Amino acid sequence: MYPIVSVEALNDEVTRMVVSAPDIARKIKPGQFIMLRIDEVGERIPLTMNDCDPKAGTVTIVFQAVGATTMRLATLKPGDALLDFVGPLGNPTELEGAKRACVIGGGLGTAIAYPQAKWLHDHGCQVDVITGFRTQDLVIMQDEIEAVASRSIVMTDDGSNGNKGVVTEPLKRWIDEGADYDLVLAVGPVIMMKFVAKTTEPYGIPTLVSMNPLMIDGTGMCGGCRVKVGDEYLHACVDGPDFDGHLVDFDAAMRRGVMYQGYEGSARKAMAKQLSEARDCDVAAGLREADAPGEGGRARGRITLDEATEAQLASMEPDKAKKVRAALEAKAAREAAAAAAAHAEQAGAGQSVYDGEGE
Amino acid sequence: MAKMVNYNRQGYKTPMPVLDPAERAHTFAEVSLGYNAERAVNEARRCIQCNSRPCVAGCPVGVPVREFIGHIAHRDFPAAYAAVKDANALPAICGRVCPQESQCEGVCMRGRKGEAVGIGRLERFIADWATEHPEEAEQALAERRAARAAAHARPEGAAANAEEITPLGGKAVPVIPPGTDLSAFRVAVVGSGPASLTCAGELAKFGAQVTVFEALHEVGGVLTYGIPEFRLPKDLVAREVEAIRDLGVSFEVNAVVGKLFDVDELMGERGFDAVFVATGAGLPSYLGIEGEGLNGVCVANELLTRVNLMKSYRYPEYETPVFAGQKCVVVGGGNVAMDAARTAKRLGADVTVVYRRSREEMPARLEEIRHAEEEGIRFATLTNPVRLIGDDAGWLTGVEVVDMELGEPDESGRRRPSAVPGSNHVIDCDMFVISIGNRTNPLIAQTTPGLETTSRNLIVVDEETCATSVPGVYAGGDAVSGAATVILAMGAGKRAAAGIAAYLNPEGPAVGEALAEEAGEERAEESAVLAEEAAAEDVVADVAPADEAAADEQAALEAALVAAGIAPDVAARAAAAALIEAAR
Repeated sequence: MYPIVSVEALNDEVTRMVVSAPDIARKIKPGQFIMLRIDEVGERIPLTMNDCDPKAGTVTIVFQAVGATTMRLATLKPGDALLDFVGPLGNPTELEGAKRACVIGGGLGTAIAYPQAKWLHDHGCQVDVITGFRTQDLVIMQDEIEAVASRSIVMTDDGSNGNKGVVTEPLKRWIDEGADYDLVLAVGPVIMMKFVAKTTEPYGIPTLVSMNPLMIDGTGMCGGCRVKVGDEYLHACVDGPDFDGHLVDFDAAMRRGVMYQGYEGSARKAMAKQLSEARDCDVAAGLREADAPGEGGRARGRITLDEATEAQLASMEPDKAKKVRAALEAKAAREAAAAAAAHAEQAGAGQSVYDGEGE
Repeated sequence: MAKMVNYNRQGYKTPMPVLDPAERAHTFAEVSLGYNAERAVNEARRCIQCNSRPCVAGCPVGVPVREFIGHIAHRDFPAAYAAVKDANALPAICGRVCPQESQCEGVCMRGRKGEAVGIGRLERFIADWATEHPEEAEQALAERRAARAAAHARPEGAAANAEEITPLGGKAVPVIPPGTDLSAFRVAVVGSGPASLTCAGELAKFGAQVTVFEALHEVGGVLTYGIPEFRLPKDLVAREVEAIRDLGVSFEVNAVVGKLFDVDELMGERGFDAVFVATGAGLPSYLGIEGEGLNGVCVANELLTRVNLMKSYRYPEYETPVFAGQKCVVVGGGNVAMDAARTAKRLGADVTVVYRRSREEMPARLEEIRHAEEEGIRFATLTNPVRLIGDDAGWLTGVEVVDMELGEPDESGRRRPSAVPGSNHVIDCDMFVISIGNRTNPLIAQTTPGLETTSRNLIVVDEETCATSVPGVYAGGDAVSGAATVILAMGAGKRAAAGIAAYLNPEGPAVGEALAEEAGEERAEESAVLAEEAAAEDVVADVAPADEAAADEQAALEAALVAAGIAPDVAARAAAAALIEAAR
């Protein structure tokens, strides 16, 4: 078991989690990933390392609650533990020797791009960082990035932070202004990486992209993570996850990305339902507590009823009132659950180009 | 073992009950149900207890086949179990998944006229019997081991020990000499498949402190992620692993050697005295045809890993989904292809297996092909895919195939298939499973300086000891041979264990004898008695002098054939056949 040390919500959808895994913490490098499984029935999912602390023996992951597994992962608390946590997998990003680099993160990809920018900065490379998000509220890790970047800019789809546009705009501008990059690194949605690669190609700037395809075992066996690079199929788990952006067949990767989307959709709904049922259980627990002798019978679950209803309840027979109250509270809980499910659905993959990284 | 005087002349194998095909096409429950005691004894009595015992030569781990079948025929199940288990760490598994028809049963004397003795079925029976009678089984095994260790201290006892596992005119599978003490040594085993489990179990029996490192979250390698539940129940694998744990072997899952730590670190800071590398086959091979990136196309490894390791056939209770189409085409003719086809069938698809050679060349076990057919899977042999066709959204809609014909034999000895021009046609499908073999996982080779590998990334080893080019590092299984069978991997694990024991403890047998002496007069006397008894039994086992002469003649003939450059297994068969001819 791998204990969870801390959990922090970076925004409504993105969570940072620190996990105790001393052997991995000593070995993992920027660009490498881990695979985790929450419990016996859980999926194995790959997550790229966000940070590590070899002294404390911890590995930090950042994920977006877009699928059944990440939604469930986001409900875990410090002191809980993950059943499986394996790594380091994949190859470290080849950052050695870069003098002038541009690191680009899209959405959650920012969390993975950050350690690379930091490594480059620590090794004497001048780093520019461009990040892109759907909207201002989703912007993450800007303090960390500013600490290591020579200059940085945040772009949003809706312009809510004042910079409406996509990440390739500042990239092209900076290149044209003579930034003279010897490395461009893009981590994020496939479509973003595709356009970053397209932007740098005419300039002949070496461009690495971090692919995150379907993956099952992650150790070089199942072939699920194949990516067409040039004329051959390479595997993100043992050949990647970074590939030459000018050779990757991004369109094929995007098509393959939808293969399990139907299952993801239903799994996401099922998970939302399950989580809301868990909340119903909380309510039920509250009711049981209310029934417990010596508690005065006034404590309730999280659902509060309005005054008019309370007045009506007060005028009823105590036994009947209790039943009606339970029914009303259950109804309210169901409504809350439906809202949660709708929210989860809305936050789902495919809604925006900046979603979907991480699962 | 006394010669079978009144053997059962039934010309066919005693039938083994199976689940009804209509029922099993929808369930992952085990298909074959195994023998009961009556059927087992009936089948065991078909063995004529021949002197030449080619079955032993046919077994990569050297199971004393003739001996254990003799015990079953005499209803001495504990002794039968002890004989099998002493040689084979995983009998319940081998009885189910070994390609017996090309090994022990392939050379069985009974097979020359009618069907061979059902050795695999009997091995399965005796292993399952032991599960139901654990105490009797354990006691018999302990007694056998004690007796053999004691006997080994005396030359004639050692010879008697070796006899049943030594094929006539052949060489026994190397084993760790009884009495060897490895308790001062620590051995790391990389991977937890059949080669590793065998090697770890063998070494632990002699006291070595063994740690097995597994990259996945579950132990068992191909037994866990590859072979489906309906062919090899996973609780059975878990039981066999538990038995190895009981020998003192410890297991570390989620440990990717080559990433988390490399072989040098294992031998250095982690203090292991030797390492056995059995990381199995690696990434899949592709057909190299248009359309392999389409949705609906997967590799057998992916399908099987999802279903077996991640239990996606129980989705959504287990959270890993698996894509199953309506019409599925599986390409390949090996056991993995059969497993993939039968798995797809159970997930609800209508399945066709496409294979470029003819039925006779299919490398899969006969039983698997037969079971697949019974379950309604179609076979399109002499057919080869040339292109996968998809719709605009990138989903598979069909596969274009071409008819093949067989020409001259190629280097593998099988007739080379070539395409019939103009015979192209399309098979509609929305699921396509590639099952044409694996390449090798390069991780260990890349991270172990000085480790010699072939151009295909296979680890080069000494055939006898499994030693690699790095001192103290041994290797076996698919990582050495390329994709092969469970039992060949186990044979390598056993040889490697003997090799490692000899490396760690070069005076092995001497130490063994010294220990036996230390054990005192009492034990020496006891061993003498046991050895005498064993020798006496052997005299009974040896049959009429005429047979002995015949056996010598056969051995001489076989040796001559081998000297003439004929492959040993072919020579053995030819010599046996010639002898039978002469007898007529």
